[in-house]
Parts: sequence; C-alpha cells; structure tokens
Amino acid sequence: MKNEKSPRSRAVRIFFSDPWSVAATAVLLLLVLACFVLPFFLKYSYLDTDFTIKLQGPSAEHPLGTDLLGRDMVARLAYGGRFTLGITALATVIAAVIGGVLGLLSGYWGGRLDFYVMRVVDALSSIPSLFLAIVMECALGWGQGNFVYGLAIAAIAPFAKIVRAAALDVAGNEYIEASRALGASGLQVMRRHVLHNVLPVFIIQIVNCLADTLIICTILGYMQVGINPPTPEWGNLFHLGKDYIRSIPRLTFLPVAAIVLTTVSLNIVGNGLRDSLSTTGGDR
Amino acid sequence: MLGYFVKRVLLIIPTVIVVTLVIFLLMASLTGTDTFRMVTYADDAGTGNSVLSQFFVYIWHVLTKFDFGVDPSTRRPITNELLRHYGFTMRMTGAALLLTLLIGVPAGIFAAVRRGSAGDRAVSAVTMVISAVPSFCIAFGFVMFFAVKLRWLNVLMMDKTDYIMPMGTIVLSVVASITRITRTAMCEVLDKQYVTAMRSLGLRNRSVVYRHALKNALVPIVSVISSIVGYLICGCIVVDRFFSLPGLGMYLANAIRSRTTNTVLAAAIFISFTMCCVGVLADAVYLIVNPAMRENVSWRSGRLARGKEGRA
Repeated sequence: MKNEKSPRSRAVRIFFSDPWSVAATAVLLLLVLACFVLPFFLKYSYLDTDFTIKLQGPSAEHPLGTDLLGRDMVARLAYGGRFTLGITALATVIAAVIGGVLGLLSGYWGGRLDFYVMRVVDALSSIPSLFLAIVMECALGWGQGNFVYGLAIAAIAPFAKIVRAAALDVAGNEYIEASRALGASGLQVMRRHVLHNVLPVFIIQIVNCLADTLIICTILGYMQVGINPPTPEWGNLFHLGKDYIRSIPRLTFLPVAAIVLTTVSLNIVGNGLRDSLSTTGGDR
Repeated sequence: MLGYFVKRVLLIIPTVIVVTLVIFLLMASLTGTDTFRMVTYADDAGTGNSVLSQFFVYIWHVLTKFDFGVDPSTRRPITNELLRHYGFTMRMTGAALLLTLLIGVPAGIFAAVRRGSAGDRAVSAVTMVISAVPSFCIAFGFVMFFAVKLRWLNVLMMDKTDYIMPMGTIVLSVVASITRITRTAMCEVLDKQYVTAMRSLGLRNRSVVYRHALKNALVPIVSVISSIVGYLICGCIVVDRFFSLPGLGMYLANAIRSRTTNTVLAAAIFISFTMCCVGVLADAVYLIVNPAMRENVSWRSGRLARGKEGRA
C-alpha cells in the first residue's frame, strides 16, 4: 500500500475504490448537470402551454412528449429537478449550518446552553419530520421561500444531536485538556480538534439528510403543500401525471424514476462515505 | 429506576410546551408580534394581547380543560374532531408497527445469517430501492396492481381486506430501515466470541441465532422503535391523503385547504405528546432487553445514552 499523506486522501481513495460509489456519484453529477445546466439550452420553458399538442408522444420537437397542457416534458422534468434538488440542497445546507453550530456549541461548552438547546431539539425531534415539515409550512405561511425553511427546520434536530454527540465524545479526551492547558483558546481547540473529529459524521449526516429531505420534498409536492402548480416539482409532476397512467404511463414513471434514481444514488454515496470515513476515523 | 421514569413522564409536559412555544413564535415572527392573533376560542379569550400572553392562555386551556379551541372554518371544537382522526391514525400505526416488526426482523435475521450470500445481497438491494421510493408511489403501485389489474381490492375501502393496500404501503415504506438495522445488529452479535464458543460447543444453529444472538441484537432494534413509529405516522399521513382515509392526513389536508393554523398546531401537540410517550415506553422496553443499562439509570440521569452502551 502506498504511503498516504492524510486520513482525508485515504478516505477519498477508499470511497473511489468502490465501483458502486463511483457510479452513484457519476449519476448524481449527471442529474445535477441535467437539472441546472440543461434548462439554459432548452427551447421551451416549463410554462409554455400549447393545447394543440397536448399529451403527445415523443417526437423530435419534444423528445419525451408533452403533458396535459402541451408543455414539454423535458423542460418540466429538468426544471422540476431544479426546484426539487435546489430546495432539497438549500434546506439541507440551512439545517446543517444551524444544527451543526447548535450541536457543536452545546456539545463542547455544555452547561446551561446545552440544556436549553437540547430541550428545543428534543421538542423538534418529538415530531416526525414529514409532519414537522407540514406544521412548519403552516406556521410560516404558505410561500415558496418559507417552504425551504419548513424543510430546513424539520431537518435541524438530527444534525444537532449527531454533532453534539460527536463533540461530547471528543471533548472528554485528554488531548483536548492538554491543548487547553498549553494555552489554546476555545476557538482554536474547536477548529483544530473538535471540528476535525465531528466532520466525518457531519458529512454522512448531510448525505442522509439530502435523501430524507428529497423524499419529504416530493411528498409535500405530491400533497400540494408549499409548492403549487404551475411550478414543476417531481412529486408534483407525479401527481399531475397519474391521472393518465392508463394512456400515457410516461408522465408518471419519468418523475418517479428521477426521484428513485436520485435517492438510491444518495443512499449508495452515503453508505460509501460511511465505510470510507469510519475506517479513517477509527485509527486516528 | 422508578424515579427515572417519573422524571421522563414529567418531562413530556415541558417538551410539548416547548413545541407549542416554537410554533407560536414562528407564526408570530412571520405575522409580526404586534399584529399576531391566534384566533382560537369562541369567546375571543386571549386574542388582542401579546404573543406570550396568547400562548399562556392557549396552554392554560389545553392543560386544564383539554380544550384546543374552535376550528375557524367550521366553528366546531377542534378536540373531538382531532380525537377521531387521531384514533384512526393510531390504530393504523399500531397495526403497521406490528406488521413491520413481524416482517422486518425476520428478514434482517435471514440476511445476517447468510451474510455475503446472494440472498443477503438481494435483501440489501431490495431494502435500498424500497427506501428510495416515496410512499405515494408505493401506494400507487398497490392500487395499479391490486385494484386495477387484478381487481381484487377496492380503493373505496368497502371491505376490511381493502385495507391491505394502505397497510401494505405504510409497512413497505418503513420495513426497509428495520430490516437494515436488524441485519447490522445481528451481524455484529454473530461476530462475537461467545457465539463462536457456543457453536464450538455444538449448539444447533437455530438455538444460537434465535435463543442467544437475537436477545442481544434486540437492544439496538428496540432503540430505534420510536423513530420507526415516527416514520409510520408519516406513512399514515401520506396514505390517508392517497386513499382518503379519515386519519390525521385527511385532517391536515382539510387544515391546509382552509388554511387554519390552530388546527395544525393542535395536531402537532397531539403527535408530539404521542411520540414522547412512545419514547418513554421504548426506554422501558430497552431496559428490559438490556439489563446492563439498569444500574446506570437513576433520577439524575437524563436520556438513556444508547448507541455506545447498546453496542458494547
């Protein structure tokens, strides 16, 4: 085995030595490209309706046909993915930042702050995430910007808990005490030691959270909470397409395929990350 | 030990109050603290005051009279309506939990005993794909297969057997995670030296797996029960919506349609309370299956530190 410089490069090597992880990463990259770059090159917008060509089959003009209002399915799917993936990613980032900071602070400093933060986190996690997302949607009003915040708030609690547990784990170590005794400030210890040890579980949780939030996002889209037509969203597209399942199953199966492909890839990447990061975490 | 549970039960109330407070504050932050009006009670009790005093009036009504106010869209008391839907969802959840455990745990054991074989890989692949499919797609698949193609079941839920579809949806959407956890737990236990020792002593495979290994593998399984119940409740919500069942999903759909927030708040309080109770019950079961934890438990201890002790 060649000499590895850092645990990080070792984790990267282990991750990319698994063909499934590589394939899943590639699929995710392709999906992201298709959803965020493809729309710039499309002839039609997701809003261009044309009733003369409604519910058409695939053609040169519309490679995946049109939906019930004559809208191009390629555009609907790509823009739908842009909304679904964008909202999911944004909600995850917000939840990761808030939950991560809360968990880090309460795990490292503990005391009264820990007590109050954990009561709120307990309260939030006492409601199942889909339910919480709906409740937050309701509490925050019913707009698209708020939709992201609703999903984000629903995802904060696991982040805070996991990061807190990891930080508590580190904070009890003697080398932390040693570096404090040598005069390192709280922030320095936090950056050099705590953050370093929290990072693996944090990264894994981000991927898990992406998968969970994506499912919740599509369920809410399907239930028409938060995202309303004509805005395309994969769950929403399913909802619109399922009435035509007998005649045009394509309208239903394409969004489902997109959702399943993304989530399966995310799960595989999550498993790969867990394997690669846990082996590096173990011997440090 | 008794003290610990008394403390946990007492802690349910502040947790529920914090849930209510968080939702109140979020709603108030959006509408502005001066203009925020939680129109809840018919006699306008508490409206027109500050956010906090409205909150206290609400909590006081809930805690002392079990009164969640009036639905502004129908002018009917929320409590009765909510209790009906809640009861339905809880019955569904209970039955689904039983089914999930009856399917998921054996499937996990099946995979763990044959680790690395084709059967194991098949179980892993199936659980991974199932957990990636949103539950409304599973429900749709059930309807297309059983009601449209085979014409065995009715989507209008005329018969008891028709509940196979919603039940199957809920169970399928959750069973993957319990299977995976059982498999991991079982694999870990089967790697232990005492299992090897038992095998070398000549115990039959069945008694090693079911009598000795399973008992220890139950510990991590029990510790995820409450999150499983959470997923099941979410599954119920989707299924209610899909099959128009009179559960909490229907209740929420009505609330969303009429944009009444206090009905959603009441449902959130119910669910939060339920999940807290489930958490306490799960802890009790956890202590039954994991006697090693019992001595650490006292009035002073907070939540059970699962994870590590569970795995050790």
